[in-house]
Amino acid sequence: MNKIVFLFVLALAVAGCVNQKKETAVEAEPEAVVLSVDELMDQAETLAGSEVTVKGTVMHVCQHGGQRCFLMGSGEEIIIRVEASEEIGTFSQEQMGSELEVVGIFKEVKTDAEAHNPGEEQGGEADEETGEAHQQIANAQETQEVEYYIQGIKATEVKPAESPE
Amino acid sequence: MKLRKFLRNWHRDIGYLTVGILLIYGISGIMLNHQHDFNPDYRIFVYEFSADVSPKASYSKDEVKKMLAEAGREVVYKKHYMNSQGFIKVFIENGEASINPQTGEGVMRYLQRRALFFEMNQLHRATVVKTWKWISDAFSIMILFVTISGLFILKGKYGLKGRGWWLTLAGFLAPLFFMIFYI
Repeated sequence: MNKIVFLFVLALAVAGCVNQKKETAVEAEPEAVVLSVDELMDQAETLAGSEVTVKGTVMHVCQHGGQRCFLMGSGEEIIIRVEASEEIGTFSQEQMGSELEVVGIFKEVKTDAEAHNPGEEQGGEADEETGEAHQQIANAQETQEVEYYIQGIKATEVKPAESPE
Repeated sequence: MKLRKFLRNWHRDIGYLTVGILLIYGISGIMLNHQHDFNPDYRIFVYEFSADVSPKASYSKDEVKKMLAEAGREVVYKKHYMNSQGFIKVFIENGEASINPQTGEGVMRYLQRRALFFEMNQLHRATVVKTWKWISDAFSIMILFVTISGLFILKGKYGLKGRGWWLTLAGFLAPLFFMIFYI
């Protein structure tokens, strides 16, 4: 029995170290150009399929599991969906309104599986505010000729610089 | 029989190891089952308030902060914008507010994490660090072992050949029924 516990704890420690090493190896990278959501959508056709770094305000986080969020540009009609990868894990509701810098692959929605309609998929709205957010997202998506999303690799919250009063 | 003794010992010991994770999965499972009835991760508080607002096209950060102050709650302003309906949409720490500049009426929605439930739900959904995926796989294998070994531990009328197989079959019926008729 003691052997089982010892082996289990050892396996945990090894798994943790392996994960750490992998994370350290990824770190040293050249600085990327950070685009705003507006700039990203303006260059959408040329950037589709590339890795991009985009900064925007989190206007909505999917309530059921936080597997995706929506970044807003200069207005609520300019939004981009970000899907959380394994590296990101999950987005939290506390990130609403925060500035998020996301690194990911910018993709065009080509199949139904890649598309996303929050209200329909979740079987109706849990509350009025969520329903309004889903309606705003649906309205913004309708104005786009081609729908895009980002398969997120990394997401960092950007703390706002303190402005002098 | 040596095999039965082996299964009993390992069933017991691995069973102890899995108590914690089964409690987490069981409790968070109930919470997540009801995610359409209530938010399993956060308690949501809704406050209505009135603000002194003059209708105009845009508002500065300081003006919005003054409006929020009239809600009578200590909140930390993050950002705001005018939405398509002409409402002032404000993001605050752990929440958001919406103010109608025509009437001054505002609604604030504040989130509070459900202590322990939030963390258990995250573990259940496996949306924590990558390592957790493999650890939860290991726990799942242990749970499978405990389940299957439990079928063969007892002999006689209380074992699998006695009442055991009736009860095991009955346990499969409910999920099978829903799988056949509802999926």
